Amino acid sequence: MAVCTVADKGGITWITLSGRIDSMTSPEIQKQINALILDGRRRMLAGFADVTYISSAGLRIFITAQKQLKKAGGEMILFAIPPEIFPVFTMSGFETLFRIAQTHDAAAAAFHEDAPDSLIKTATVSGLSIRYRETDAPPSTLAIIGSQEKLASASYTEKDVIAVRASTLPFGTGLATLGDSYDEYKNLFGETVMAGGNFFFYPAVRRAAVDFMVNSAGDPNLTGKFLHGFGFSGAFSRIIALENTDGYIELSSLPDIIFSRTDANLAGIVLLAESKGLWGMHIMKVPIRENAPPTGAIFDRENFTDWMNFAVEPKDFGGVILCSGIAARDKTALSGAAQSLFPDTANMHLHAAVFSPGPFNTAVERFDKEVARVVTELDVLRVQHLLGRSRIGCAVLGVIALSGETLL
Amino acid sequence: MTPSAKITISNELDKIRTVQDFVEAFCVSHNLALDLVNNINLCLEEVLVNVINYGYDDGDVHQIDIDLALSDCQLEISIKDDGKPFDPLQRPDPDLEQPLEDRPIGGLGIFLLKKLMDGLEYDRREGKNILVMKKRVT
Repeated sequence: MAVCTVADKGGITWITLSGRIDSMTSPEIQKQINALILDGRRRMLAGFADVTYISSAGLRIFITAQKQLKKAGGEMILFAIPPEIFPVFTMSGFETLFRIAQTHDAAAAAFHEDAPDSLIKTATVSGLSIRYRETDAPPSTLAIIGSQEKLASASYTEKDVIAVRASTLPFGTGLATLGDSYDEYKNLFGETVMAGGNFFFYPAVRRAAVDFMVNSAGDPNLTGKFLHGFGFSGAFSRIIALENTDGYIELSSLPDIIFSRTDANLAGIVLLAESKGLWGMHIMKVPIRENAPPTGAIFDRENFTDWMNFAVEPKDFGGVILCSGIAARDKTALSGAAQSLFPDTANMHLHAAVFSPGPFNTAVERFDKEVARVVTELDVLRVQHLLGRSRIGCAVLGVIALSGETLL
Repeated sequence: MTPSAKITISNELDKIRTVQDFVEAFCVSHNLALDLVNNINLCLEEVLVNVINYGYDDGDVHQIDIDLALSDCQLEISIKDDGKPFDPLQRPDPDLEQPLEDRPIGGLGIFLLKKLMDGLEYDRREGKNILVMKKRVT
């Protein structure tokens, strides 16, 4: 038996082999690797740590792959070849055909040292390796949609609804819905994420959820109806990839990473990340006047559990999240209206569309494409406000510097 | 007395593993080192793949005999098949210095066989290929 598993991380395809690679098992592995190359993978790392035997039929797979990859400007690097089988590789002249690394980390470093895109820089922030690309995209403005004043008392009415076109405000979060007539949509408001013109919302009152989670990139007329929220447009001035293959970070450490790469005081963020356990919450009733609690505010202890669904344990391990939000270097330097968009104890506010698990590519140069691919290929499960202790693994972050604000 | 063993298989690729398990059991029972076993099994696969894939044109079932004989200083493995005459020792070695784009994809198996074995003899007798592989054991 031989097993060949594949994972895409950071624009690199990791191939992990185990067992016997012989004339019986080679055709299947060859087919798998060939499919990866046809699919556009160009930078591959093949790990042999658990391979017990390899014959010339197995060696041929890798010579063939290397020939194809080199023709297409790619490369395969081999690593962790056990000493028992290493002599077969050297006898076959593999050292002139391949770069061979001792360990997983050394193999990954071999690719990063010769990043093909010279615009991509690397750095270490708080012990974490990042790759990032800087552009001179000008700062954009923060659009504040409505206000949260009527949230606690659940006293919004039709007059408070603000229509926002996804095409003019492609990124943002809030409490929103879609629809033409207030009477029809008033019970369908929910946590919302806008990212790249895609619009996802999760109606507070549970219905057949899938019908209501819309992704409508490219529809210029898509108009969200907001009770409150914020948004922004513009081009990314930084795209940052976190190489967090084995470990995780808490979301609350993202602002430090962002503000180590930009001088802005306020940043609009679009985040694509692998979940390593989400702490999320979402509202369960629509805070309009007819739903107002008989006494007190929705956040009061007597009402809170009726109104808010919040995680009691981390969820959605392995899922992919697409988030929009804002982060501040120094909240106190912002206007009162902008400050009110942040939770009291955090300098970041993110909403996430949570997708089913699936591989995604963390290459910073293809961030927009990858967002579009995740949105179209993976299934969205829910939309949530994320708490700072949520954990993420691999991630790519688009940052738009924000200065000044408009009120919608 | 010289320990010996014999196994006969049909010309199917999935029988190679049967031979390898047989040889491994033989070697282990005579306290031969594991890396030696791995090398011998690799050579067996290379020879048998050639015989099974290229030795026959008729689509019939053929028998391949593998004999093992262990003396004080060496293990001798003979592989006998009634396929087309083929002397692997006459195959030129691949040029390992060649750049990637010029490197042929095949030819490695027999090359590894020559590198890993201490002695190889080929003979064609009574319509059969007989390849004897010798490996020193200490």
